[in-house]
Amino acid sequence: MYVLFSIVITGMFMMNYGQYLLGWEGSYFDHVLTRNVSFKDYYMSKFLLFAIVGGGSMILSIPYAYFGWEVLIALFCVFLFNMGVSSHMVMFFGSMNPKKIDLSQTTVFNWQGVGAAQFLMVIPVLVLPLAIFGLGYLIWGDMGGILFLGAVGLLSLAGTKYWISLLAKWLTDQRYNISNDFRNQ
Amino acid sequence: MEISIQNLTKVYGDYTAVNIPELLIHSGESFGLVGNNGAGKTTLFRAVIDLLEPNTGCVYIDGNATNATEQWKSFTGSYLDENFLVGHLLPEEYFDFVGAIHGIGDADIKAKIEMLEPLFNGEVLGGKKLIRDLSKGNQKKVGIAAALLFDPKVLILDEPFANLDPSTQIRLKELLKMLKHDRGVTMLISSHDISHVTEVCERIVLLEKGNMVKDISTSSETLKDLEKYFAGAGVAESAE
Repeated sequence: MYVLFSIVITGMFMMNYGQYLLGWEGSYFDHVLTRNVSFKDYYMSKFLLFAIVGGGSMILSIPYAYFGWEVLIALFCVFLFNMGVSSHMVMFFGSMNPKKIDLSQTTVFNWQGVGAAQFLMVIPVLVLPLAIFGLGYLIWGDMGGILFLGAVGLLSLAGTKYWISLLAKWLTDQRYNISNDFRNQ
Repeated sequence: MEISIQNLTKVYGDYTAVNIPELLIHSGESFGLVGNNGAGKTTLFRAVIDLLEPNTGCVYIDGNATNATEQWKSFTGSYLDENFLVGHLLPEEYFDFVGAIHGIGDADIKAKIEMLEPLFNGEVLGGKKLIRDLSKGNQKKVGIAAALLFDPKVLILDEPFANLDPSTQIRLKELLKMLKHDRGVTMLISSHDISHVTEVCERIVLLEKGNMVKDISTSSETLKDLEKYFAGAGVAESAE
Protein backbone atom coordinates (compact mmCIF):
# COMPACT_ATOMS: atom_id res chain seq x y z
CA MET A 1 0.00 0.00 0.00
CA TYR A 2 2.48 2.60 -1.17
CA VAL A 3 -0.32 5.06 -1.94
CA LEU A 4 -1.42 5.67 1.63
CA PHE A 5 2.22 5.93 2.69
CA SER A 6 2.87 8.48 -0.05
CA ILE A 7 -0.20 10.55 0.82
CA VAL A 8 1.02 10.89 4.37
CA ILE A 9 4.63 11.62 3.41
CA THR A 10 3.96 14.29 0.80
CA GLY A 11 0.79 15.67 2.34
CA MET A 12 1.49 15.73 6.06
CA PHE A 13 2.65 19.32 6.20
CA MET A 14 -0.13 20.43 3.89
CA MET A 15 -2.80 18.85 6.09
CA ASN A 16 -1.26 20.19 9.28
CA TYR A 17 -0.68 23.72 8.15
CA GLY A 18 -3.54 23.93 5.70
CA GLN A 19 -6.36 23.04 8.05
CA TYR A 20 -5.86 26.39 9.83
CA LEU A 21 -4.79 28.19 6.69
CA LEU A 22 -6.08 31.64 7.62
CA GLY A 23 -6.09 30.98 11.35
CA TRP A 24 -2.30 31.25 11.53
CA GLU A 25 -2.68 34.85 10.43
CA GLY A 26 -5.82 35.39 12.49
CA SER A 27 -4.20 37.67 15.03
CA TYR A 28 -2.98 40.02 12.30
CA PHE A 29 -5.52 39.56 9.56
CA ASP A 30 -6.07 43.31 9.18
CA HIS A 31 -2.40 43.52 8.29
CA VAL A 32 -2.94 40.88 5.60
CA LEU A 33 -5.94 42.71 4.18
CA THR A 34 -4.45 46.20 4.02
CA ARG A 35 -1.09 45.33 2.46
CA ASN A 36 -0.83 45.41 -1.29
CA VAL A 37 -0.84 41.67 -1.76
CA SER A 38 -3.66 40.40 -3.92
CA PHE A 39 -5.63 37.41 -2.68
CA LYS A 40 -4.38 35.49 -5.71
CA ASP A 41 -0.77 36.04 -4.68
CA TYR A 42 -1.75 35.22 -1.12
CA TYR A 43 -3.14 31.81 -2.05
CA MET A 44 -0.39 31.22 -4.58
CA SER A 45 2.23 31.72 -1.86
CA LYS A 46 0.44 29.17 0.32
CA PHE A 47 0.37 26.79 -2.63
CA LEU A 48 4.10 27.24 -3.23
CA LEU A 49 4.75 26.60 0.45
CA PHE A 50 2.88 23.29 0.16
CA ALA A 51 4.79 22.45 -3.01
CA ILE A 52 8.21 23.22 -1.51
CA VAL A 53 7.65 21.33 1.74
CA GLY A 54 5.81 18.44 0.02
CA GLY A 55 8.47 18.22 -2.68
CA GLY A 56 11.21 18.32 -0.06
CA SER A 57 9.56 15.49 1.88
CA MET A 58 9.33 13.52 -1.33
CA ILE A 59 13.03 13.96 -2.08
CA LEU A 60 13.97 13.02 1.48
CA SER A 61 11.90 9.83 1.09
CA ILE A 62 13.85 8.65 -1.97
CA PRO A 63 15.84 6.11 0.13
CA TYR A 64 12.58 4.20 0.55
CA ALA A 65 13.30 2.97 -3.00
CA TYR A 66 15.17 0.26 -1.09
CA PHE A 67 11.76 -1.42 -0.80
CA GLY A 68 11.28 -1.36 -4.57
CA TRP A 69 11.27 1.23 -7.33
CA GLU A 70 7.45 1.36 -7.28
CA VAL A 71 7.79 3.51 -4.17
CA LEU A 72 9.37 6.28 -6.21
CA ILE A 73 6.60 6.26 -8.77
CA ALA A 74 3.95 6.18 -6.07
CA LEU A 75 5.60 9.07 -4.22
CA PHE A 76 5.80 11.16 -7.37
CA CYS A 77 2.28 10.42 -8.58
CA VAL A 78 0.74 11.06 -5.19
CA PHE A 79 2.74 14.27 -4.91
CA LEU A 80 1.25 15.38 -8.22
CA PHE A 81 -2.21 14.56 -6.97
CA ASN A 82 -1.65 16.32 -3.66
CA MET A 83 -0.49 19.46 -5.41
CA GLY A 84 -3.07 19.35 -8.16
CA VAL A 85 -6.19 18.43 -6.23
CA SER A 86 -5.77 18.07 -2.47
CA SER A 87 -3.91 21.34 -1.96
CA HIS A 88 -6.82 23.35 -3.33
CA MET A 89 -9.32 21.39 -1.27
CA VAL A 90 -7.23 21.93 1.84
CA MET A 91 -6.96 25.64 1.11
CA PHE A 92 -10.70 25.89 0.60
CA PHE A 93 -11.68 23.96 3.71
CA GLY A 94 -8.95 25.71 5.71
CA SER A 95 -10.40 29.08 4.75
CA MET A 96 -13.91 28.16 5.80
CA ASN A 97 -14.89 29.56 9.12
CA PRO A 98 -11.37 29.80 10.40
CA LYS A 99 -10.36 29.96 14.02
CA LYS A 100 -7.68 32.27 15.23
CA ILE A 101 -4.51 30.50 16.35
CA ASP A 102 -2.69 32.35 19.10
CA LEU A 103 0.97 31.64 18.42
CA SER A 104 2.10 32.91 21.81
CA GLN A 105 0.63 29.93 23.64
CA THR A 106 2.65 26.97 24.83
CA THR A 107 3.21 24.05 22.48
CA VAL A 108 2.35 21.51 25.17
CA PHE A 109 -1.24 20.23 25.03
CA ASN A 110 -2.19 23.01 22.69
CA TRP A 111 -5.57 22.10 21.25
CA GLN A 112 -6.32 25.46 19.70
CA GLY A 113 -8.56 25.29 16.70
CA VAL A 114 -9.10 21.54 16.97
CA GLY A 115 -12.68 20.64 16.26
CA ALA A 116 -14.86 18.17 14.42
CA ALA A 117 -14.50 20.17 11.20
CA GLN A 118 -10.75 19.60 11.21
CA PHE A 119 -11.22 15.85 11.41
CA LEU A 120 -13.88 15.89 8.72
CA MET A 121 -11.53 17.78 6.43
CA VAL A 122 -9.06 14.93 6.44
CA ILE A 123 -11.67 12.65 4.85
CA PRO A 124 -11.69 14.14 1.35
CA VAL A 125 -7.94 14.60 1.46
CA LEU A 126 -7.33 10.93 2.36
CA VAL A 127 -10.35 9.25 0.84
CA LEU A 128 -10.46 10.94 -2.54
CA PRO A 129 -6.98 9.86 -3.70
CA LEU A 130 -7.63 6.35 -2.40
CA ALA A 131 -10.92 6.23 -4.29
CA ILE A 132 -9.28 7.41 -7.52
CA PHE A 133 -6.45 4.96 -7.02
CA GLY A 134 -9.01 2.22 -6.39
CA LEU A 135 -10.80 3.03 -9.61
CA GLY A 136 -7.57 2.82 -11.59
CA TYR A 137 -6.60 -0.32 -9.70
CA LEU A 138 -9.82 -2.08 -10.69
CA ILE A 139 -9.26 -1.27 -14.37
CA TRP A 140 -5.49 -1.47 -14.84
CA GLY A 141 -4.11 -3.03 -11.70
CA ASP A 142 -1.70 -1.70 -9.07
CA MET A 143 0.69 0.34 -11.17
CA GLY A 144 -2.13 1.52 -13.43
CA GLY A 145 -3.95 2.91 -10.39
CA ILE A 146 -0.89 4.83 -9.27
CA LEU A 147 -0.30 6.29 -12.72
CA PHE A 148 -3.99 7.14 -13.06
CA LEU A 149 -3.78 9.06 -9.77
CA GLY A 150 -0.74 10.94 -11.08
CA ALA A 151 -2.49 11.73 -14.36
CA VAL A 152 -5.54 13.17 -12.61
CA GLY A 153 -3.21 15.24 -10.43
CA LEU A 154 -1.27 16.50 -13.43
CA LEU A 155 -4.46 17.44 -15.25
CA SER A 156 -5.71 19.43 -12.28
CA LEU A 157 -2.27 20.92 -11.73
CA ALA A 158 -2.53 22.50 -15.18
CA GLY A 159 -5.56 24.39 -13.89
CA THR A 160 -3.80 25.72 -10.78
CA LYS A 161 -4.27 29.35 -11.79
CA TYR A 162 -7.97 28.81 -12.24
CA TRP A 163 -8.40 27.08 -8.87
CA ILE A 164 -6.42 29.85 -7.18
CA SER A 165 -8.56 32.50 -8.82
CA LEU A 166 -11.69 30.75 -7.51
CA LEU A 167 -10.22 30.73 -4.01
CA ALA A 168 -9.27 34.40 -4.31
CA LYS A 169 -12.77 35.26 -5.44
CA TRP A 170 -14.22 33.36 -2.52
CA LEU A 171 -11.97 35.20 -0.06
CA THR A 172 -12.87 38.52 -1.68
CA ASP A 173 -16.53 37.79 -0.98
CA GLN A 174 -15.90 36.55 2.55
CA ARG A 175 -13.22 38.97 3.72
CA TYR A 176 -15.50 41.11 5.89
CA ASN A 177 -16.98 38.13 7.70
CA ILE A 178 -13.61 36.50 8.25
CA SER A 179 -11.85 39.61 9.51
CA ASN A 180 -14.81 40.43 11.73
CA ASP A 181 -14.77 36.91 13.19
CA PHE A 182 -11.04 37.12 13.89
CA ARG A 183 -11.46 40.51 15.54
CA ASN A 184 -14.14 39.19 17.88
CA GLN A 185 -12.43 35.92 18.83
CA MET B 1 -4.67 61.76 -3.04
CA GLU B 2 -8.21 62.81 -2.53
CA ILE B 3 -10.44 60.77 -0.28
CA SER B 4 -14.13 60.93 -0.92
CA ILE B 5 -16.76 59.34 1.29
CA GLN B 6 -20.18 59.01 -0.31
CA ASN B 7 -23.39 58.22 1.48
CA LEU B 8 -21.67 55.93 3.98
CA THR B 9 -23.76 54.20 6.63
CA LYS B 10 -23.04 51.34 8.98
CA VAL B 11 -25.83 49.98 11.11
CA TYR B 12 -25.56 47.40 13.88
CA GLY B 13 -29.10 46.29 14.68
CA ASP B 14 -30.96 49.49 15.58
CA TYR B 15 -27.79 51.36 16.25
CA THR B 16 -26.32 53.56 13.54
CA ALA B 17 -22.56 53.53 14.01
CA VAL B 18 -21.70 55.76 11.07
CA ASN B 19 -23.87 57.95 8.88
CA ILE B 20 -21.96 60.28 6.58
CA PRO B 21 -23.83 61.57 3.50
CA GLU B 22 -20.78 63.21 1.98
CA LEU B 23 -17.25 64.01 3.05
CA LEU B 24 -14.41 65.12 0.84
CA ILE B 25 -10.86 65.14 2.16
CA HIS B 26 -8.62 67.07 -0.19
CA SER B 27 -5.24 65.93 -1.32
CA GLY B 28 -2.57 66.94 1.19
CA GLU B 29 -5.06 67.82 3.88
CA SER B 30 -4.45 66.84 7.46
CA PHE B 31 -7.82 65.72 8.68
CA GLY B 32 -8.63 65.17 12.32
CA LEU B 33 -11.54 63.19 13.67
CA VAL B 34 -12.66 63.76 17.23
CA GLY B 35 -15.51 62.37 19.24
CA ASN B 36 -16.34 60.47 22.39
CA ASN B 37 -16.25 56.71 22.70
CA GLY B 38 -18.74 55.07 20.37
CA ALA B 39 -18.87 58.09 18.08
CA GLY B 40 -17.89 55.89 15.15
CA LYS B 41 -14.31 56.99 14.57
CA THR B 42 -12.77 53.54 14.27
CA THR B 43 -15.77 52.22 12.34
CA LEU B 44 -15.34 55.04 9.83
CA PHE B 45 -11.62 54.34 9.45
CA ARG B 46 -12.25 50.62 9.02
CA ALA B 47 -14.76 51.40 6.29
CA VAL B 48 -12.25 53.69 4.59
CA ILE B 49 -9.59 50.97 4.36
CA ASP B 50 -12.09 48.26 3.45
CA LEU B 51 -11.98 46.20 6.63
CA LEU B 52 -15.69 46.49 7.15
CA GLU B 53 -18.66 46.28 4.87
CA PRO B 54 -20.79 49.41 5.03
CA ASN B 55 -24.57 49.03 4.71
CA THR B 56 -24.65 51.69 2.05
CA GLY B 57 -22.15 53.91 0.36
CA CYS B 58 -18.58 53.77 -0.71
CA VAL B 59 -15.18 55.30 -0.09
CA TYR B 60 -12.98 56.46 -2.94
CA ILE B 61 -9.27 57.12 -2.68
CA ASP B 62 -7.98 59.01 -5.69
CA GLY B 63 -11.21 58.18 -7.52
CA ASN B 64 -10.99 54.42 -6.98
CA ALA B 65 -13.43 52.65 -4.70
CA THR B 66 -11.49 51.01 -1.87
CA ASN B 67 -13.79 47.99 -1.81
CA ALA B 68 -13.41 47.18 -5.50
CA THR B 69 -9.80 48.06 -6.33
CA GLU B 70 -6.41 47.35 -4.80
CA GLN B 71 -4.10 50.10 -6.08
CA TRP B 72 -4.78 52.24 -3.03
CA LYS B 73 -3.10 49.64 -0.84
CA SER B 74 0.28 50.45 -2.34
CA PHE B 75 0.24 54.07 -1.18
CA THR B 76 -1.96 53.98 1.91
CA GLY B 77 -0.28 53.49 5.25
CA SER B 78 -2.58 52.67 8.11
CA TYR B 79 -2.43 51.65 11.72
CA LEU B 80 -5.64 51.16 13.67
CA ASP B 81 -4.87 48.54 16.31
CA GLU B 82 -2.74 45.53 17.19
CA ASN B 83 -4.41 43.48 14.45
CA PHE B 84 -1.94 45.19 12.12
CA LEU B 85 1.10 43.81 13.94
CA VAL B 86 2.67 40.40 13.46
CA GLY B 87 3.21 39.57 17.10
CA HIS B 88 5.69 36.73 16.74
CA LEU B 89 8.28 38.83 14.88
CA LEU B 90 10.93 41.19 16.17
CA PRO B 91 10.24 44.83 15.23
CA GLU B 92 13.13 44.76 12.73
CA GLU B 93 11.78 41.57 11.12
CA TYR B 94 8.35 43.13 10.86
CA PHE B 95 9.78 46.22 9.15
CA ASP B 96 11.68 44.01 6.70
CA PHE B 97 8.48 42.08 6.01
CA VAL B 98 6.40 45.19 5.37
CA GLY B 99 9.21 46.67 3.30
CA ALA B 100 9.49 43.52 1.21
CA ILE B 101 5.75 43.50 0.54
CA HIS B 102 6.00 47.05 -0.75
CA GLY B 103 9.11 46.27 -2.76
CA ILE B 104 11.55 48.38 -0.78
CA GLY B 105 15.19 47.32 -0.63
CA ASP B 106 17.00 46.54 2.63
CA ALA B 107 19.15 49.67 2.45
CA ASP B 108 16.10 51.90 2.04
CA ILE B 109 14.36 50.23 4.96
CA LYS B 110 17.43 50.84 7.13
CA ALA B 111 17.55 54.50 6.12
CA LYS B 112 13.83 54.88 6.84
CA ILE B 113 14.12 53.29 10.26
CA GLU B 114 17.05 55.54 11.09
CA MET B 115 14.88 58.50 10.19
CA LEU B 116 12.14 57.21 12.49
CA GLU B 117 14.58 56.38 15.28
CA PRO B 118 13.64 59.44 17.42
CA LEU B 119 10.13 57.98 17.65
CA PHE B 120 11.45 54.83 19.28
CA ASN B 121 13.50 56.69 21.84
CA GLY B 122 16.11 53.92 21.82
CA GLU B 123 13.70 51.42 23.34
CA VAL B 124 12.31 49.26 20.59
CA LEU B 125 15.11 48.56 18.15
CA GLY B 126 18.00 46.21 18.73
CA GLY B 127 16.21 44.49 21.60
CA LYS B 128 15.29 40.84 21.78
CA LYS B 129 11.64 41.43 22.57
CA LEU B 130 9.03 40.20 20.15
CA ILE B 131 6.34 42.65 19.17
CA ARG B 132 3.73 40.84 21.27
CA ASP B 133 5.90 41.32 24.38
CA LEU B 134 6.30 45.06 23.89
CA SER B 135 4.25 47.54 25.89
CA LYS B 136 1.14 49.03 24.30
CA GLY B 137 2.92 52.29 23.63
CA ASN B 138 5.89 50.61 21.98
CA GLN B 139 3.59 48.43 19.89
CA LYS B 140 1.90 51.58 18.68
CA LYS B 141 5.27 53.07 17.74
CA VAL B 142 6.11 49.97 15.70
CA GLY B 143 2.74 50.12 13.96
CA ILE B 144 3.03 53.81 13.11
CA ALA B 145 6.59 53.32 11.87
CA ALA B 146 5.47 50.42 9.65
CA ALA B 147 2.70 52.60 8.22
CA LEU B 148 5.29 55.27 7.36
CA LEU B 149 7.90 52.85 6.06
CA PHE B 150 6.96 52.93 2.39
CA ASP B 151 6.43 56.70 1.99
CA PRO B 152 2.64 56.52 1.90
CA LYS B 153 0.67 59.25 0.20
CA VAL B 154 -2.28 58.61 2.49
CA LEU B 155 -1.82 58.00 6.18
CA ILE B 156 -4.59 56.70 8.42
CA LEU B 157 -3.93 56.53 12.15
CA ASP B 158 -6.44 55.72 14.87
CA GLU B 159 -5.61 57.25 18.23
CA PRO B 160 -1.90 57.65 17.48
CA PHE B 161 -1.26 59.65 20.64
CA ALA B 162 -2.90 57.31 23.13
CA ASN B 163 -0.51 55.23 25.27
CA LEU B 164 2.53 57.17 24.06
CA ASP B 165 4.92 58.83 26.45
CA PRO B 166 5.00 62.66 26.35
CA SER B 167 8.30 62.99 24.49
CA THR B 168 7.17 60.57 21.80
CA GLN B 169 3.87 62.43 21.49
CA ILE B 170 5.79 65.62 20.80
CA ARG B 171 8.13 63.90 18.33
CA LEU B 172 5.22 62.25 16.54
CA LYS B 173 3.51 65.62 16.18
CA GLU B 174 6.69 67.09 14.68
CA LEU B 175 6.97 64.15 12.33
CA LEU B 176 3.37 64.39 11.17
CA LYS B 177 3.70 68.14 10.55
CA MET B 178 6.89 67.50 8.61
CA LEU B 179 5.18 64.84 6.47
CA LYS B 180 2.35 67.20 5.68
CA HIS B 181 4.56 70.14 4.72
CA ASP B 182 7.40 68.34 2.94
CA ARG B 183 5.63 65.40 1.35
CA GLY B 184 2.03 66.54 1.06
CA VAL B 185 0.76 63.40 2.75
CA THR B 186 -3.02 63.24 3.13
CA MET B 187 -3.64 62.35 6.76
CA LEU B 188 -6.63 61.00 8.64
CA ILE B 189 -6.06 61.05 12.35
CA SER B 190 -8.53 60.31 15.09
CA SER B 191 -7.95 61.23 18.67
CA HIS B 192 -9.57 61.61 22.05
CA ASP B 193 -6.97 64.20 22.84
CA ILE B 194 -8.29 67.38 21.27
CA SER B 195 -5.21 69.46 22.06
CA HIS B 196 -2.92 67.14 20.05
CA VAL B 197 -5.27 66.85 17.15
CA THR B 198 -5.90 70.59 16.88
CA GLU B 199 -2.14 71.09 16.83
CA VAL B 200 -1.53 68.66 13.96
CA CYS B 201 -4.67 68.92 11.82
CA GLU B 202 -5.86 71.81 9.73
CA ARG B 203 -9.38 70.50 9.53
CA ILE B 204 -11.36 68.84 12.27
CA VAL B 205 -14.60 66.96 12.07
CA LEU B 206 -16.53 66.16 15.18
CA LEU B 207 -18.47 62.92 15.20
CA GLU B 208 -21.36 62.22 17.51
CA LYS B 209 -23.18 58.90 17.33
CA GLY B 210 -21.98 58.44 13.78
CA ASN B 211 -23.07 61.84 12.53
CA MET B 212 -20.86 64.74 11.57
CA VAL B 213 -21.73 67.48 14.05
CA LYS B 214 -19.02 70.00 13.23
CA ASP B 215 -16.63 70.52 10.36
CA ILE B 216 -14.14 73.26 11.14
CA SER B 217 -10.84 74.58 9.88
CA THR B 218 -8.44 74.82 12.75
CA SER B 219 -7.78 78.26 14.18
CA SER B 220 -6.65 79.57 17.53
CA GLU B 221 -10.25 79.37 18.73
CA THR B 222 -10.79 75.74 17.76
CA LEU B 223 -9.44 74.16 20.91
CA LYS B 224 -11.66 76.33 23.11
CA ASP B 225 -14.65 75.59 20.90
CA LEU B 226 -14.09 71.86 21.13
CA GLU B 227 -13.49 71.97 24.87
CA LYS B 228 -16.74 73.81 25.29
CA TYR B 229 -18.56 71.24 23.18
CA PHE B 230 -17.17 68.25 25.06
CA ALA B 231 -17.81 69.84 28.45
CA GLY B 232 -21.38 70.52 27.29
CA ALA B 233 -21.87 67.02 25.97
CA GLY B 234 -20.70 65.60 29.28
CA VAL B 235 -23.17 67.77 31.18
CA ALA B 236 -26.04 66.93 28.87
CA GLU B 237 -25.40 63.21 29.21
CA SER B 238 -25.21 63.22 32.97
CA ALA B 239 -28.43 65.23 33.14
CA GLU B 240 -30.34 62.62 31.15
